[in-house]
Amino acid sequence: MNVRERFTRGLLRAATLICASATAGILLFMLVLAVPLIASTGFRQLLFGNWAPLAGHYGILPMIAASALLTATAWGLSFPISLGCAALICELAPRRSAIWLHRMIQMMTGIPTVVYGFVGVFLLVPVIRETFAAGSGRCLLTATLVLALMITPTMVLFFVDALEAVPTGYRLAAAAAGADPIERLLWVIIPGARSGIVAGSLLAFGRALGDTLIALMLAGNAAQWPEGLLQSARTLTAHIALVIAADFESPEFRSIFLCGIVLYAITSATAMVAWRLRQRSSGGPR
Amino acid sequence: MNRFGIRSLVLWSWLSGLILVAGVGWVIGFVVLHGFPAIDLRLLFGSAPPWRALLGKVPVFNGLYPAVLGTVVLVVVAVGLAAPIGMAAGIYLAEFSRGRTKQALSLFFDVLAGIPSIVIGLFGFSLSIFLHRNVSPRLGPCLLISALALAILVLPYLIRATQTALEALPAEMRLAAVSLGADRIQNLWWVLLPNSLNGIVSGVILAIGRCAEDTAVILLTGVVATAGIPRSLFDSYEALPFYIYYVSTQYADAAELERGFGAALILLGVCLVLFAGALLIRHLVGDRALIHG
Amino acid sequence: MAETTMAAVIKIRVEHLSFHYGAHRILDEVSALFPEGLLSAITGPSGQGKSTFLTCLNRLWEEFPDARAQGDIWVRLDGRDRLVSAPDFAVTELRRRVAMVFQTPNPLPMSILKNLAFPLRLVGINKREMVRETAQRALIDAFLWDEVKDRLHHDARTLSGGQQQRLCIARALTLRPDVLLLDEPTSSLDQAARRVIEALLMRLKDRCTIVVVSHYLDQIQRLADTVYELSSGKLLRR
Repeated sequence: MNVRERFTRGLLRAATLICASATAGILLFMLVLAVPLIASTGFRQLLFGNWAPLAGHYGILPMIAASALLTATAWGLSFPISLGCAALICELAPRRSAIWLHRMIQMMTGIPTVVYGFVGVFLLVPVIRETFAAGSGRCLLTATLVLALMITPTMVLFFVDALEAVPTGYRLAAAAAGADPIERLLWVIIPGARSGIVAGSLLAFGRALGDTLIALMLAGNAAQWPEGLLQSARTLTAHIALVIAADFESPEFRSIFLCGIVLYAITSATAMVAWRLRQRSSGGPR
Repeated sequence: MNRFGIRSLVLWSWLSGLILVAGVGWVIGFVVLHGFPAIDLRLLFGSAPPWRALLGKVPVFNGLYPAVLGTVVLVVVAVGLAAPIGMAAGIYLAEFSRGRTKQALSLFFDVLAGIPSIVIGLFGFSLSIFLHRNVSPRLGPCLLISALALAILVLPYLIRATQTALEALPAEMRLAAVSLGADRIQNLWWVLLPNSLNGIVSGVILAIGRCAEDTAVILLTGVVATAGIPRSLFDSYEALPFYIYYVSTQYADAAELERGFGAALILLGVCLVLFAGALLIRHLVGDRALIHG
Repeated sequence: MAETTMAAVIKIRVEHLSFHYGAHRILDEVSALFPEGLLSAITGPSGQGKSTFLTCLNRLWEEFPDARAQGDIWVRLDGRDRLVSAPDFAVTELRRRVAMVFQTPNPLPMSILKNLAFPLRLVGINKREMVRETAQRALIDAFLWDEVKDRLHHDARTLSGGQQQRLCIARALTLRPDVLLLDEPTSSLDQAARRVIEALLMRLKDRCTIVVVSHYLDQIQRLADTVYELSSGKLLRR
């Protein structure tokens, strides 16, 4: 290994370490800044208490509930649609249409989130307001519908990759046994792509959880426990965006770091599980 | 499962395709419908004369130009920071790491890719507080901090694009130069990188698109509604996605709403064009060398 | 089959070479002598490690993870026997003196001329005149000049299989190596292309020592001065 190789290798390794430390550094900063709040009010009360700053309560439970409800509902709505589209692309649609659909869906992932939110505000909110005659139209339902639309293309692409990764040997075996394309899909391909589908679902779930703009623009932002989809609610992400303008030293302000930690923890956990699943299905270290 | 069950599942698949395409089509159609009428020079420059406003001699009050310029500068700085580091890390992962280290690193970067953009924005904000307190009170949320945070946001895209492009090269190509006595670096520089270029460039273009559209990060790190064209890296600035968000929360009159739609159309158009470009480049086969070489 | 006399200079001496790939032992304490200026062939049942043995001679095995080689390999360079298997012997230097041609031709994705210029660029030879001359000489030596002299700037991948293989041989010859290793050089080619390459190899004997891996017994009979058979990890002189 000559000087040039040693130097270059060192340079590349340094760059890699900088990137890796960003991952840890982000968590570190948030922990450091959240500590005073946690120290003064107590972890449990913050995580499980209600948000009523005027009364001195800085619990983020309503936000956690709103995030959970929004993400779960949007994901639940998107999953069957995504799987259906993936099945369409991989097996059911004629080859040329399937390729076009695939390309179109790839393009859809390039649409900015803020545009989804903007259209939601001016197109969907009035409709919801009229239809349900409740509140301003900005509620969890509106946010759910738009969020589901936004994460569907990404989930479809993950699912398509998973389905196409199933070895052709399995398809041929099923065909030879007399199964038609749909039966092959149902009984062999989808089960065979199971871990890829789960991984893709997890990643889309993380995406939905981490979304800020759609929740901020459409869900209403009331910091109350969400009792139904037609209620206004505030997600963890929206909370961060709203409270950032508050006074630096105040406990309200510090609550956003706790939100950040919760978000970081959940998305990292889903990323790790998804990573593990993909490692295992590609047969060990890549 | 009986025939009816299977047939209804097939029906569902087609229906879901329809729902998705219709839903997204509606979104795009709505933006185009309301945004298209707003597209003209007035949208960008308001009542200021275009040429002088372009050169910064005259401030623009009712136009998108400052926001557009802000976004452009932001993207250039962010990608300029992230690209070399991300590509270097991608090269390291593909060529110089193996086994446990490689697994650990790929996990780290998967986690990084999953971090919500608002959390990265929060990090950027914390960083600016840190600098404000410990380095200089003149430092705070600004263009540079936003660019830094955006760079972190798109780092995983660049790393992954570079790594994937390199790892996709056929084994014969790798061994050819090496068997002639090339060392790892020569092989990398003269053979491997030139042949992964389309994958890498595609990743850079995707990163550009991601930086252009992001709102959450810049929301926390210095973007404002009115700041004029960016004069220095350490000032607040305007950006297109923020303008769109801002208009949706409060617009003074119909003209401003129309500008909002115009802005949405511009952002949508730019992002879609960038995205299409990235996809196209990735699928380009290296036929360029066929004639000159 | 020509006889090798005791007076011939030994170009390559392999002593107690063992090779492991992960937990599998491919070569077991193998020893061999390759005389200078002659063509030696290695044959044997497929999958036994003939290609692996070849990669030990130019230490290309070091590019594969999980591979381990032990033993001594001496090559006579500039009149002296050098222990090339030692880690402190520069492997890039070794590969310029001991060149390799692969079973499937692997032209670099560049023009024909650039393919030949590549090894020269690695050692710092960039002057256009010099490169042109060296490339021309190598192409003539490889029986390829007449066929490509008018299209040196065309992509090398537009050549036929046989032409590509001759290009790879020419590329290997640009730095005037002491030894030329060929791993089943004609197995991906048709009859006519095969004959051209065999004639080429016979001509190259006076320029370098040649070691060929081949499973075509008739080819070996036509070409080889010395024959080794590799089976069950052991190398036997035939």
